[in-house]
Amino acid sequence: MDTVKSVAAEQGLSRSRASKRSPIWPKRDIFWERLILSLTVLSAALIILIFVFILQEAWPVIRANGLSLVTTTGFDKQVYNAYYAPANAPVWNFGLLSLIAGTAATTCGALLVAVPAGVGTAIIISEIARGSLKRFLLSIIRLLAAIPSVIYGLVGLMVVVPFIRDNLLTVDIQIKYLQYFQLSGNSMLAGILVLSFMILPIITALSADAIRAVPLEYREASLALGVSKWRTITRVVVPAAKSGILAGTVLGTGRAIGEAIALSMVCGGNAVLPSLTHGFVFFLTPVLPLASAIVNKSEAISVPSIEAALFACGVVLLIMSSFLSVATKAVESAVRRRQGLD
Amino acid sequence: MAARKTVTALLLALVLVFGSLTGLQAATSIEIYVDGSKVVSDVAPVIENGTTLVPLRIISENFGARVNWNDATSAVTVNSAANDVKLVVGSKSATVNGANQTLSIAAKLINGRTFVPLRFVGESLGANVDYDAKTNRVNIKYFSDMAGTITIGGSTTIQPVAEAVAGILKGMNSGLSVTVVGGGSGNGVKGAASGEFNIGNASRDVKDSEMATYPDLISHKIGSDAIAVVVNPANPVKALTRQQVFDIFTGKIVNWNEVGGNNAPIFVQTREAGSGTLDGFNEKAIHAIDANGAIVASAIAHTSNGLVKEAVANGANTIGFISLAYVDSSVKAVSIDSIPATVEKAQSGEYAYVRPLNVLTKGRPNLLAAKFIDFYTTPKGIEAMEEEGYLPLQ
Repeated sequence: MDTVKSVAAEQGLSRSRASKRSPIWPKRDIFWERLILSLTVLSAALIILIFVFILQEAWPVIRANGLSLVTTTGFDKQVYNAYYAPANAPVWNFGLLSLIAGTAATTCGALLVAVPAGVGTAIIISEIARGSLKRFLLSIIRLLAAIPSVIYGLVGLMVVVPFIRDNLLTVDIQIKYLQYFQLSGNSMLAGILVLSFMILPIITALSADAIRAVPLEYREASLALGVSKWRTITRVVVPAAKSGILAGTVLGTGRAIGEAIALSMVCGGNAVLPSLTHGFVFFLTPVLPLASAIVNKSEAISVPSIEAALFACGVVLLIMSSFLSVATKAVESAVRRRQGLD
Repeated sequence: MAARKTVTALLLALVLVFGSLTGLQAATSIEIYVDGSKVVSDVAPVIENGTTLVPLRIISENFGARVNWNDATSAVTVNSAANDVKLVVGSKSATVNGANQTLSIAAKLINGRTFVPLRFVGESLGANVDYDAKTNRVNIKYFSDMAGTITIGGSTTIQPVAEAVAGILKGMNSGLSVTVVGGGSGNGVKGAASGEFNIGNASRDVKDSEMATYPDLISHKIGSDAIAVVVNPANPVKALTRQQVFDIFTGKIVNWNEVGGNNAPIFVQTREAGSGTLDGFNEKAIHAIDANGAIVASAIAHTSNGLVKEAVANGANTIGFISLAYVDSSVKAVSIDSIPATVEKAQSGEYAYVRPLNVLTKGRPNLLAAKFIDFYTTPKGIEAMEEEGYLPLQ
C-alpha cells in the first residue's frame, strides 16, 4: 500500500485512487469522468423535475377525481362546463378515457401498419437493393424522417381526409350517425394513416441500420448450410437484428403518442369513445388524442381547473411513454432469456 | 414742428393702448400640424396672450381621446387611454390625472363652442407640442413619436385590425416594433392581466369572474363586430330565421331538407371554449332564445375564425359562425330573419348578432401602449376598422 502510494505521488497521480482495489487513473481522466457523470445526473434530475412539476400542476384534478379520471368519458362537455362555471363554484370533474382511447387507437393502428411496412422496406433496402439504389433509398428515408409533423398534417388534411370522405362515406351513413358524431372524413382512420407515414421512416431507418449491422458471417453460415436467401433473411438476419428493430419501433411509438399538431388537423377533435358496435364505422369515428386535446383546449387555459386538467393529460402521456420504455426493456430481456442470452 | 411730433406720438400711443386693451384676439394665421398633417377645423383656432385655444373636437379627433362636456358644471373632461384632463370653462385651475395645475389662460366658450388651451391639453396627454415662431406653426407629435415594443395578443377577431393599425403606426415610426398574436379572447384577458401582453384583445366583455380574479384589468371599447352565420357557397339555403339558427345549432334540426336545402346531414362547426366569437354567438343566438340551450355535442370545435371559415368553405354540408370581417367569397353568409349580414345592417342595429370589441390593459397603460389604443378612435383608425369589416364606435 505504501509503495503504491509513493509511486502514485511520484507520478503526480491522484492519491485517492491509489489503493489495492482500483487501478491508478491520471487526474485528467478522473476529471472528465466526473464531469460527464455530473452532466448525466443533471439531465436525469431535470427529467425528474419536469415530471414532478407536471404532476404538481395536475394534482388538484387528480385528487378531485381519483381513478375516475381515467375511466370516465365526456371531456368536451366537462371543459365547456368548467369554462362557463362561476368563479365561486369551479368544476373539477374530468374524465380522460376517450382521450386515452383516441391516443391508443391511433398509435396502435399506426404501429400495425408501419412496423410490417417499415421492416419490409428495411429488408428491401439492406438485403435486396444494390449499390446506388440502396444509397438513394436510404437517403430518401432519412430525409422523410426529418420532415416536420405539420407538413404531414397538411397533406393529411388535403389528401387523406377528402379521400376518406369521398370514398368511404355515403350520405346515408352520415345521417344515420349524426346523432352520435359527424362523419366528415376527419377520423381515426385519417389519424392512423397520417401517423403511419410519420413513423414509417424512423422504423425503416433504424431497422435498416440494425439489419446491416448483422455480421456477414451469419448470412454466409446460413447460406452455406443450404438455407434459401429469403429464409436466411427471415429466420437468421431479422431475428439477429431484433433489438435494433425494437429500438426503431419504440422511437416511432414515442413520436406517435406525442403527436399533437398533425392529429389535431385530421382526427376530428371530438372526444368520442369509438365503439366496436358500430362495425366498420369504428374506424371512421372522429377521436381526440391526448396531445391534440392539450393543443385544442389551450384557449381555455385561463380557467385554473382546465389548466390542471390539461396538465393531467400531460401526466397520462408521460405515464404512457414511461410504461412503453419499461415494457420494451421487459420484452427485450424476456426474449433474450428465452433465447439463452444470445 | 414740435407740436406736430407730440400730437403724432400721442395719437400713436392712444392707438396702441386701445389696441392692447381689446386683447390680442386677432383673427389668426397660425397653423396647427399634428403628426405632419395640417389640422383643418371648421372654426379657426384663437390666440389669447400668446396661448392658442382650439375647439374641443380637434383634441378628440387628433388624439383619439374621449371628450365630454358637462353643461351643468361647465366642465370639460378629456380622457385618453393613459391620461385624464379636467378643465372648467373660465377657471384657471385644472386637474391632470387627479393632480391640480394652474393654467395661464382658461378654457372658454366662443359662440357655443368650447375652446381649450392646446399646449396644456396636448402636453397633459403626453404629446410633444412645439411652436415655431418663424412659420407661425404649432407642430404636435403624438402618434409619430412612438418608440419601443408593444406586444398585443388575444382575440383572433381583433387580430386583423390590430395588425392593420400596427402597420400604419410602424410606417410613421421607425423605432416602433409591434407584435400581434392570436390565441383567443380568453388568452387576451389572461395575457393582459399577467403582463404578457401590453394590450390584450377580447371580442367580448370581461366576465364578472374575470374581473374578480384580475381586479386591476381595464377594458377600452374600440368598436363592435357582427357575427355571420355561414354555409358553403354550393348550399342552396340562403336565409334562416333566428329560431331555425337556434334549432340547427342545438341539434333539433339535423337535415338540410328541413330548412329548404338538399337531403344531407347538417355538420355544425363551432369554436373551442375561450373564444369571444363563441361567447357572442351563445349570448345572441342561443341564450337569447333559451337560456339553457347549448350547442350540440357533435359539433366540431375549431380554435380560430379562420379554421371555421376553412371548414365551411371545404365541407359541402357544413354550417358555422364567424366574425363578419372574415366573410369572403369562399363562404356564404345567410340572412337572419330576412336581414342580410352586412356592415350597414349591423351599424343600424337591425342585424341581430352584434358584439363588442375590447382592448384590455393591466391598470392604465404606459404612454406607448396608450397611443396605440387611442389610434383606434382617430379617423385613420376608424378607416382601418371599416376596411377590415368592423364597426367603429358611434
